[in-house]
Amino acid sequence: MNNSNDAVVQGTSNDAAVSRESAARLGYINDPFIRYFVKRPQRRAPLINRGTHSRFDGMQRIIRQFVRKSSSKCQIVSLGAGMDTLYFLLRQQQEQPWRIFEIDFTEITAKKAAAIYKTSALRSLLPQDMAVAKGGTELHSHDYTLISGDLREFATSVVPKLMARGFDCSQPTLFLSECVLIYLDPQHSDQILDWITDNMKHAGILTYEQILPHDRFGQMMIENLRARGLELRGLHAYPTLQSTSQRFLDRGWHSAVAVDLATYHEKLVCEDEQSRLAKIEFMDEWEEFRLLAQHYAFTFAYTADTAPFNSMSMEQI
Amino acid sequence: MVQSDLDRQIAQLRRCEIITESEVKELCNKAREIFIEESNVQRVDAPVTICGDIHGQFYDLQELFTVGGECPDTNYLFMGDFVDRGFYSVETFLLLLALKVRYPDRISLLRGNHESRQITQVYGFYDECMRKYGSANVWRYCCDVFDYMSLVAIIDDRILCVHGGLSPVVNTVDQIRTIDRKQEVPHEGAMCDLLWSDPEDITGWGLSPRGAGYLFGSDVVQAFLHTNRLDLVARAHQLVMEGYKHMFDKTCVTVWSAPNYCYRCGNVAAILEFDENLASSFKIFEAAPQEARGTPTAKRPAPDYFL
Repeated sequence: MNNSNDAVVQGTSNDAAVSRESAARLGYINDPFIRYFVKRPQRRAPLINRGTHSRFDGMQRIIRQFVRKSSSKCQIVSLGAGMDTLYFLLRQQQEQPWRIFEIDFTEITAKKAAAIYKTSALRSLLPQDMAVAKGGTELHSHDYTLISGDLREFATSVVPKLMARGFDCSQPTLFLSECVLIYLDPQHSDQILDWITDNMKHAGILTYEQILPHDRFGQMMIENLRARGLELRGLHAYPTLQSTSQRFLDRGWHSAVAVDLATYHEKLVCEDEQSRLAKIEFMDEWEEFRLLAQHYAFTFAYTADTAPFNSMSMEQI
Repeated sequence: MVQSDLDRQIAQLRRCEIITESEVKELCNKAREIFIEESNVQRVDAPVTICGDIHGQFYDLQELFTVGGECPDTNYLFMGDFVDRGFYSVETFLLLLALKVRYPDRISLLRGNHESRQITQVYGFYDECMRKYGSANVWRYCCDVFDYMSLVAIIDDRILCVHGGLSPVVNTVDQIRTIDRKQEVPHEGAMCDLLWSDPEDITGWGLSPRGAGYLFGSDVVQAFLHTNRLDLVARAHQLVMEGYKHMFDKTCVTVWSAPNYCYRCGNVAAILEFDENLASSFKIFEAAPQEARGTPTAKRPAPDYFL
């Protein structure tokens, strides 16, 4: 991967933030913090807002179960966190886990650290012991750690940084990847999963990534993203719901369940919420929404039959 | 309007070039005079080629004409949704309108649910008019035309063509004739249902996830066809990956004419040809190649995904 490709991948964190800001501003999701990370807000199409809602809802659902059901000493590691506002959301809801570690390219973490520091609404939620580090590209504190790193060098350069910040391999840890591992060569993402498998006592992971490259919509998705310089490098190695979960089971993980975004939206977003969403914006793009949403999947997997993971699921609210 | 002016405008629009605001105004006035004379239920004679949603995909409309034949050589019936979503709603709608004014007996245009003030403000046509003309005037002229477009067409007394589908408050074609159509698409009632409803594998009527119109089952179609001595309901409104879809033992057909819808879906498109004996055949076509789109590759559409 050359540097220009890296820059395009980095640009996706802005794209994701713009989508989330659009959904938050219109009232699809409750994220009062995302606006501080978006310079040029855009109103996304209703089907994108709907999908962003399901994506946010699904990620939050597992994360909140994890935090609620954990003892006080749990950890969240957000791989390629981008402009995710998770720390602030949990902090605001008082559902604070032991520690959150966010990792992304230096270009991203520098922007994020600056945005946090210049916004008093964010800065005031930071822990007392917060320190800006590494020339403004990292934030260090006990509760919240933002570190820069290249996920292609996970074991050799990211892990030492995590360890230096007090990451504890013996504590229950939830790893997150929202459209992140998909941009890596499978060998690189496999190395991350292998490291987790070999080193963590009990870990879980929640991924949200593209699937189904082979049908016509999938082929067009690949072509359109390629025209923007984006390669979904991991897509062909794990192309289906079955293979995205098998990937974890093959490593001896205890459980792995995958559900696509269309099914999540249809079956796992409750009726009250559906009717609330229907009132926000008129949605006339159902066939297209289903197509698009069938090409994204949540996969929730965990290594061992232990708490809190063995009592968590996508179905629970 | 002088015919040579109209022919020049058609030539210009065929090249995907917009005409001036005052030309749009005159064209819309002329079109409205034609539509105002048409009944809610347009009579159409076979042979005719029927087309589904276009949604501003101008270069794909050109493909459609290449595959189906140019107007007026081919007699066309378009079942609505000319605007929104695609990048060339202005050129698409104005070209079809200009063809209607030039060859009123060779092309019929029905109203779709997107031919509405409210929907076009959400789904792109309004913004496109503002971008291309710097004011909302062209959008306003077009919306005034929308209000006069027919709701359904009947081919040779056998085939009902409509954008969406049937309505629980409409049992007979005569009831459609009594609708006061010259208005913005209402949120409920017969006119709304005709433009919004979808066929579904249910019995009777169901609630639509679209929030307007209804879902209707095969028994509903059967009863309507029987009562009105018709053979087929032809409609558009729903993306189908193969371009067309038969339902209910071939008593209902969906025709979709926007290939690679929104430059994202990867679907093929179809038009449905009826010959003078009402024998039918589909013609399938794909999206116009990138080279034919007239925009440099750097400017190719970048549809949204969840990134």
